[in-house]
Amino acid sequence: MIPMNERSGSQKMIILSEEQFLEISALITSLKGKLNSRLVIFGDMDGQLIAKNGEIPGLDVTVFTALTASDFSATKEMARMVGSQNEFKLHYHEGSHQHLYVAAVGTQFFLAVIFDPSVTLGMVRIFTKKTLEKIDKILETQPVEEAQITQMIDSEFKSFVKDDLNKILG
Amino acid sequence: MFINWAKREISVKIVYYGPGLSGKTTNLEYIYSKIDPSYRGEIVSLKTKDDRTIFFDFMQFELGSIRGKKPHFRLYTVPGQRFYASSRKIILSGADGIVFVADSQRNRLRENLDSMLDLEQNLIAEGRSMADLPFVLQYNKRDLDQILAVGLLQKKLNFLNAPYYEAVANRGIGVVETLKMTIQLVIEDIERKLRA
Ligand SMILES: Nc1nc2c(ncn2[C@@H]2O[C@H](COP(=O)(O)OP(=O)(O)O)[C@@H](O)[C@H]2O)c(=O)[nH]1
Ligand SMILES: [Mg+2]
Repeated sequence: MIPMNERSGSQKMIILSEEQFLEISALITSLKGKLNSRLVIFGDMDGQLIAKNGEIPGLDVTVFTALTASDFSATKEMARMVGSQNEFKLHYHEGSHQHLYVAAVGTQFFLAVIFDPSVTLGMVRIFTKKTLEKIDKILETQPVEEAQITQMIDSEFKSFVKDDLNKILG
Repeated sequence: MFINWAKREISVKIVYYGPGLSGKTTNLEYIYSKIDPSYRGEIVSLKTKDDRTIFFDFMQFELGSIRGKKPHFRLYTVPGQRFYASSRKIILSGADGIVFVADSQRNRLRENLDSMLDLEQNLIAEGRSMADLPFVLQYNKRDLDQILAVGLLQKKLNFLNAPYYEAVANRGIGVVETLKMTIQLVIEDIERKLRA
């Protein structure tokens, strides 16, 4: 179900195609609208932000994603340590102004929704669940053609990265 | 590694590993201070009251578009203390490259070795190994008096013959070189894997 490239042994190589990205982005936008949410994030359990819609002033979304992913993994590990057989699937924090709801998409991705207390948790649960089922389906589809991926890094790429690193790091 | 084909974004994860107090957080803080804010995000440090890393430090930066492709780098440190074993496992998951920050001090050799062993065990648990991962060693704290000679550290720690750098991280010496080499190895590794 995960567009994971297994050629590299056990190293994770996740590739999302243009269609997959656009479809997931559309679902996230729609979820945000339905829940009148301020921010919806789709991320990877290793801390990578994949798609988002919305903004919260002063909140660095990449940092937020890294934290959410680790928090999720940590809770999963805690569940494992106390002998829970069930895969840990969701996470909920209640704030005074905003609530945070995080749900796993398969084992590799998650969806995080920041919403207003005026929206019921039940609503959030239902719409999030529907969205993540759809995302799950999208992730089952064929990722990018191999030939295209190989183009991603051509022989010049490395030297350009080197030049750019020199520029920004001195 | 993560490729978002729609955005032509290629994102890699680099983890700074090593014993407690070897200078991992200091490496990240220096890199953060060197990069123009327009290329990087915030740095987060999850620290205890006495400034020890409790979960991880994190920062990310990107390069401008390289012929339409956007490289993006996420840097993490792990907490060194023995009791944060689960945190280290979590942070290490999905790493594309590793920097091992060793403490050059004579009385820290044991801790360096323990941490190296811990790293390999955590990788094996994921079905990986240090040997097949881009890996760079940094011998830090070269400014201190009671340090081991690099030759000896090499013999004790660098059994994989990885690239290594001497560093004084709190003065920024060797920090950028270490990162650049790691990124270079990661890109070569990705290149190899895509071609395979
Ligand atoms: N003398 C000296 N101190 C250093 C050097 N690098 C880091 N430190 C100091 O060592 C302490 C621990 O560093 P830190 O980065 O927090 O270690 P971490 O536990 O690996 O994250 C801090 O007080 C740093 O200022 C170095 O090269 N030389
Ligand atoms: Mg630290």
